[in-house]
Amino acid sequence: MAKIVSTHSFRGGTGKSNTTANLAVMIARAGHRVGIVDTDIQSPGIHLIFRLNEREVTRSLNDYLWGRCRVEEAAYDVTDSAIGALSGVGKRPQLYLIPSSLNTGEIARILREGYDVGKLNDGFRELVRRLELDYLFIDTHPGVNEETLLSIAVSDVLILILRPDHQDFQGTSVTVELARRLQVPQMYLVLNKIPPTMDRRSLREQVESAYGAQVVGMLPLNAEMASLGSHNLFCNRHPDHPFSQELMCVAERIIA
Amino acid sequence: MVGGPTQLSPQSVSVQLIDSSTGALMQTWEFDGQDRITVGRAGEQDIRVGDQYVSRLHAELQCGPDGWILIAQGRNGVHIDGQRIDRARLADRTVFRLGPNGPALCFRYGQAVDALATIAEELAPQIEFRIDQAKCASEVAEIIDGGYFRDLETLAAQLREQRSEDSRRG
Repeated sequence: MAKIVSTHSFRGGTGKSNTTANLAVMIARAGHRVGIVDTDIQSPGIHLIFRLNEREVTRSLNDYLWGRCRVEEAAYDVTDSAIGALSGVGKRPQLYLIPSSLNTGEIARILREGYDVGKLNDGFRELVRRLELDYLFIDTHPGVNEETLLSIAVSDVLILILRPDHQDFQGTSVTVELARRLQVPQMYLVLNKIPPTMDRRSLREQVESAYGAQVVGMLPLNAEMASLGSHNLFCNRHPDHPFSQELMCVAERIIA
Repeated sequence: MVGGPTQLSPQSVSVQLIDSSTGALMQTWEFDGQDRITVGRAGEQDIRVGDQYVSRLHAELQCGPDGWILIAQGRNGVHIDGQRIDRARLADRTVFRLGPNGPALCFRYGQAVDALATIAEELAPQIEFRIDQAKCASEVAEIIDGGYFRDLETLAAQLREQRSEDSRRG
């Protein structure tokens, strides 16, 4: 059965899209069929990491939600650009991205009129079925709204990303509680942008004790990620970097 | 305390931890009259950097007749200008990394007394995080009391059942 993995953060700027994109690539590279849906319709961004530009994106999640296409028609095969040719992997990896529209008019329409959240769920199921996915990643909009709650509700795995920051810490407590009420089977915490001076052990203990959930990744604040400017896949550019190595541990937890 | 440039003895040096994403100064250690400075993750080092890729003793700075030198000790090495070094002479403002992508430190002759250094040191982030449980409970209650959330709880159970069925059908 395919696993639905939602990545969420209470606030923006936590590195959610970068984390999602890199995790998806790592899991696909291990020989799986993976899809990513950008449900951050108000502020789409993950397409940039896969270097999809506005001209290339002729169909998007928005088109599906407005009934203008089937959901799989908005899926872009980014396997070659993100993973390339692999030898020694039994099953051919496959990676699809379903971007949200980059058109400001489309974004404004969503904000103005809303959309049928139930149709979004139908879209998730269709994607899993039509693209024969092993994993479907949902990159959510920060904060709590209807589509975020739906994404959490349908998840098998919820990855909550937070920084060592008081506002992130407080806000995440609300999401953790909501996820518990929605009985998400697995909930993991990923701490991102940890400054080098911070006592990592104490931080992990504080977070795990506060939320009663496991921290599966502690990602260091680093200049290399900032230099990429969300315009490339970090794990491809810096495969041996501590950030990539730590993220690989998160990927292994999702696959386990 | 904030002050202007200070006249110092030759052996007065400082080492600054640089935020690798912004280049901002994060912490400063100052030494006066000390001829050996140790850098590493272990609590007993003069400069303690709590990063998992930093060795317990990662580097030593030694003052010799020709000035200060840096000697690498850690497993991940010390890098200057992208090159791994075993030993290097330290000039004022030499930046070295603990490991190829690890924390960056800047060596300074004299004590780096400026407003930024003082503020940065005070803000060295050994933070204690606390959750305001009452605020959290009130925000959660506001969300779950809505009809949408109640419907969603029911829907979530149905959806999981549907997906299991999809999977059984293949």
